[in-house]
Amino acid sequence: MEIKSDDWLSGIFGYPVFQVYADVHENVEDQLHDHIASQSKALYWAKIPTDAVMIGRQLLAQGFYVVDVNATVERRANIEDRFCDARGIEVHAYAPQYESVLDVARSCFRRSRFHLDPNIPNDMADTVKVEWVRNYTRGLRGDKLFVVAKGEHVIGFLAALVYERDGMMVANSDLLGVLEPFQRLGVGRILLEAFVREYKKRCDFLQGGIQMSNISSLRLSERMGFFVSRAQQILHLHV
Amino acid sequence: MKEQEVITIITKIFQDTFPELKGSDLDMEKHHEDFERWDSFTHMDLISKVEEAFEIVLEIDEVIALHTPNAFVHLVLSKKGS
Repeated sequence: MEIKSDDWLSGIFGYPVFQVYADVHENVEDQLHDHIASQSKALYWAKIPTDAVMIGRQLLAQGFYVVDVNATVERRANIEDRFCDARGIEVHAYAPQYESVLDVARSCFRRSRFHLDPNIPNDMADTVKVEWVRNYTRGLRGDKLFVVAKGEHVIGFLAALVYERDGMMVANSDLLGVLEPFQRLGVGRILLEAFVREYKKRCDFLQGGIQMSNISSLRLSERMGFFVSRAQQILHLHV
Repeated sequence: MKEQEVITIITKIFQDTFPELKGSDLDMEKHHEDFERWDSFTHMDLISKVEEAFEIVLEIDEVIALHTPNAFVHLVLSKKGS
């Protein structure tokens, strides 16, 4: 087992945040108990496969609780696509005039693991999403930030990053957000199509993460050729 | 283009997109949230079919304002200058 400081989240929360990495069959209880006992205020989080029952049981025994079940969806990049071909709609690369993308990030997420955790205030959960996207606007994270805007007012965005896995290039749809009044009205599909168009020639695989409870996003990704390749539980513990 | 012609074509597009509507009258005021399968993907299918059928191009402001079949009819009529 490894307990690593999550420096980025610690900076946002203002107290230590740790991520717990554990092998499926490992006995982690004693080591975890000692670490937790040494903290006066901290957030621990862990991401484990949904079938990792033994490790899950140990985390639950320490006071962890499940805040999210996350699906990784994936597809080969170069499969045949049927794009909607709406000619009047433009997807833009992020530029400073689209800074309202941060307002979208602040308001459009209500079911993230941070929002669903009853021990995290909503404004803190919003801040996590805003700072995540700010990393993209500042060029500190990711490859591209796609936006759909009405004039200069952003109504939806998709943050994409690219990484290498076993010698293959993978484009990951890191975060997709659409303002609530414009959800189910095509903006998500437009953004996802822009992502697919951009990376289908440059990468070997396309990937994204979706909450299992977000049926409409799962359905959208399925219709874009993605399939669920992995499911993981995310657990939190507050000290 | 006459309003009735537009209604007929829009109705057919909706019935093709939502097969469960075939054989019944389309409620022109039914809101998109009341259609179980009207999601982001389906919305853009409707947009593509309407653009193709009426040879028009819809801007993002127009696309996100289309919440009912009737809204499609009115937008097409305004774009076609009827």
